[in-house]
Amino acid sequence: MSKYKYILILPIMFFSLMFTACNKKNEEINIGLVVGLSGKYSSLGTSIRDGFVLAFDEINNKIGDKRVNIIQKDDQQDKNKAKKIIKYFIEKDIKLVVGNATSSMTAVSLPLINKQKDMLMISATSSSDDFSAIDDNFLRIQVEHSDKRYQSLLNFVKTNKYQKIFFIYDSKNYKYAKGYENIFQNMFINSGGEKFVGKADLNSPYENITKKLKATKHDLILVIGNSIDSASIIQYLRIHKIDTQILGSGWAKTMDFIENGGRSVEGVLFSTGYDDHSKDKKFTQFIKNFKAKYNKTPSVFSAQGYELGQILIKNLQKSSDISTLKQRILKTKKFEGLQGDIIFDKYGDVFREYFIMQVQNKEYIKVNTKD
Amino acid sequence: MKIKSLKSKILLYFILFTAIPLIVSATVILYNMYQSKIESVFHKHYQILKQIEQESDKLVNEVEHIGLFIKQNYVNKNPITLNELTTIQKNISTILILNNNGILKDFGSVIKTDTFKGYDYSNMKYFLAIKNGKKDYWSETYLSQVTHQPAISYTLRINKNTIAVLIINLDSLNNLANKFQDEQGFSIIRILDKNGIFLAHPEQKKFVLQRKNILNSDIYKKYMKKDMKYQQIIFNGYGDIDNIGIYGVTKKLNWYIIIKESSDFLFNTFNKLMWFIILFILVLIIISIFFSIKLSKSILKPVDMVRSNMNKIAHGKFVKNIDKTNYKELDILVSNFLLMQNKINDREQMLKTFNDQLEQKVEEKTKQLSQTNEELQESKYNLQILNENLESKIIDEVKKNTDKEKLLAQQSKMASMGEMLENIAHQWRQPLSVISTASSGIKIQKEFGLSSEEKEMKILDTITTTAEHLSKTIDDFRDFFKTNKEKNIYNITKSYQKTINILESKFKNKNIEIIENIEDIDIYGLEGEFIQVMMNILNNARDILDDKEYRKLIFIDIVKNDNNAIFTVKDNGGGIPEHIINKIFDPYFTTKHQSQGTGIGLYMSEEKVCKHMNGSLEVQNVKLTYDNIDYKGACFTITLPLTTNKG
Repeated sequence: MSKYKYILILPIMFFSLMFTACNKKNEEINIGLVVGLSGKYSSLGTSIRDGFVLAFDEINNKIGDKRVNIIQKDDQQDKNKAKKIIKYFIEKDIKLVVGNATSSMTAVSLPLINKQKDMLMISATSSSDDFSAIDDNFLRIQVEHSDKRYQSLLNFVKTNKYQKIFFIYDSKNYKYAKGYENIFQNMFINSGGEKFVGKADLNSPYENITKKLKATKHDLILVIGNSIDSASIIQYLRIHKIDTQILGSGWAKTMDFIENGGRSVEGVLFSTGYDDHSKDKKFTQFIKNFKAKYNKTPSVFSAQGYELGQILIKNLQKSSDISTLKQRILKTKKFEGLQGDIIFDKYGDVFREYFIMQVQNKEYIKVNTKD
Repeated sequence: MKIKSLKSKILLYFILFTAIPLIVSATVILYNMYQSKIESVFHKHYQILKQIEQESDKLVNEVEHIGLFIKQNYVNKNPITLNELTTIQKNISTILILNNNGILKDFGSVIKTDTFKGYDYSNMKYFLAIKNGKKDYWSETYLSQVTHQPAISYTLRINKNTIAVLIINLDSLNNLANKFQDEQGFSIIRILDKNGIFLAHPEQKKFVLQRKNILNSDIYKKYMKKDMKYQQIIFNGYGDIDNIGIYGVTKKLNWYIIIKESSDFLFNTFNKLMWFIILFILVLIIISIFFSIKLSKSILKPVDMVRSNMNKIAHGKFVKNIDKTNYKELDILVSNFLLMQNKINDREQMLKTFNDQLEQKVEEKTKQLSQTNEELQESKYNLQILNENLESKIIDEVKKNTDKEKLLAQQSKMASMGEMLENIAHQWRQPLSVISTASSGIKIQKEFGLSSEEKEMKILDTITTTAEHLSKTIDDFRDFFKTNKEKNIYNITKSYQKTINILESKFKNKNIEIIENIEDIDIYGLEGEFIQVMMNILNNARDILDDKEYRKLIFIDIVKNDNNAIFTVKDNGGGIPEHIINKIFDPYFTTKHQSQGTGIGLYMSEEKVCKHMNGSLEVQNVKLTYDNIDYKGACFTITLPLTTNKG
């Protein structure tokens, strides 16, 4: 009997092990990360990636007994690439997508995502108002373009009596730029200001932009672009003796901007929701951890990527069911961020207080706008 | 202990002795092959690693040499064309010339740049390093605004006011890795900066462009973090592929060089060979098992034959002829076995006969036993009946005995009464004669007128005295017949006197003298019975002396001795013949004539002394001397315990 017992037991054990091994592979949470990782847009994308990866690294890429795989993809700020990546995620049955970093790319990805019943896209930085107040498969922890967001900027502009604003934007991320062009411009006009005196695509030759600027009377230049492009155009403008006050976008507010902008970017203003010098314990701890891992100082986008990672971890620890993830996040509503709470509204949009920062002595310094 | 089959065991040993060496040798061979493969892979990887390290350092040195060249040759008045230089020097993609304030003065690049003279790079780390006094500076990987790509640059001061920035063409590192990969076939090569960011990834160049790092990879966490360089390592690579490899660090810039190979790929040939060997071994094992079975069968066939024959014998079937095997030893065994079989057969026959006889004997004995048993049963039945009869007989006998005893007691009483009446008669005869004589004397005297008042009075006094004597006699008899059976303290001496009073006249009549030696003794007991015993013994003495012609003597002793009162009656009647002395206490034994004795007096006396008075009555013949004359006689001794106290 004992012989037969072993003959029976051994295959059972073998198949059990095989079954467990096969099952183990299923016990994984796959997260697709799609941001711009290469080229001049990569400063934002790699920052988000580094912060997001750090959050999961701190939990050893494990939620419960499930392994978390972050599948990193580079959209290169290219619409076709972005589409291809989302299709790849759909094909690979990856239900949770983090991205895109820019609003234009999100606008490409989201329609594909929305076609899927149980997919969710969550962005750290997309802020276009095109995605606002829609009950879809999208969430973000970036504040949308809205009156509230621009109020502090408007106050600053009005306080400093800027009247003629020249608008330089990146047509490759127009979804983002048009927030400034539409909402802010309207608010500005409504508050007694003028329509933007001129506008230029950042992708057009700098020479032409300069000419336009020189040809247009203006007292404030609004530059909406990534850190590399923004630094570059500002350098170019300063070389060509255009010393008008420049207001950059939060998108460009990285250390790359200061490094590549040199003295030319001193005094450039930003409307932002993140303070680089926040003394918030969570933020300072994050900076410490980030430096320990990557041997460099994080940008605010890394902080946003990290916050996004933390929100996902907290919710996935309760359940790894992606189809109910959005509802669960919205139900929880309030999350502790690195700089204050992140509060979602019923559509998955968040609000954060915005303020003005300025490059002063190679650093971003908060400007007191009450004066 | 578990019983095993010898055949299976031999077969198992055959198989094990062939299979185990095969398996062990195959394992050893495979292990050694694996080890040598691993070692050869390690050596190969190590060699490649060292070469790439050298090449990487060489590349770095070349860049530094170009920097030196620029330092020596770049002058504003006669500038060398930076574009030409970058074109010639494949390792350099872009050269920036900055002034002391970090302002771009000149640049050359093989790729399209997005920079303009006058750009301020004073915030760049490379400028700040030189500005802070460093002679030259190698940057970490950064996103270059000039090339829009990840970059590593070498910066050096070329004169007091000028700083040159040489941006390395990361393609050259990729080419370097690629070249070695191509040369080494299956080896995969990665070059990373000191922060783990890809500088060369021949298959996925995009990882370099994306500044992807390996900080979360298995190899980094398991080995690189622990500084386990130049050791053979096994780790999970991209896509969960098992890799075997090695990593090292370049001397100049601490770049990581990783050489790895897919384990599956690496051991593909080895695995094939291993499977082939395993299959070969399996075939060998099967063949060996086949031959083992054949061999064991050929060896075990005669054994089987022997076993089969033994089996037959065991089941009572004898074999006459056993086939011969081809083996001498087994044939001897078989012939011995045959011999043994025959002997067993003979013994079996003998045993059978003996057994038959034994069975017959047993049968007979059983029959006998059965018969005896029946007899025993019958005897038992008879015994039972006998027993029952005996019981009724015993009961009858006991009843008879009781009746007899009653009769004896009655007879004794009657005898005593008879004696007593005789005594009374004897006692009264003389006084009555006296009275009769006196009264008749008076009558005659009256008739003859001879009487006088004085004479009459004298005669009447005599009558009165005699009548009083008679009255006293009646008192004595009454004591004798006292029926009181209650024990009391009485005086032996007085009891004796009462007895003598009754018997006195008889003794006198027979001229028997009584010689007394009497002490005054009180005793607790039945006085009446004691008197009867005394009277019986004294009457016997009187009877024995009755016909004697010589002087008749009776000696009475009543003395104390220790705690006993001893009453002794000795006569000189000649003693009791020795042949009957032991029988005199038996009931119905008498030496007297049937008209004189019943034979129960002494029997009853002994019964009374022993049973009622706890004493003893013994008899012996004694010699006596009185008045210097010797006599022979019988001596009766009554010994009574002196228990005057009732308690």
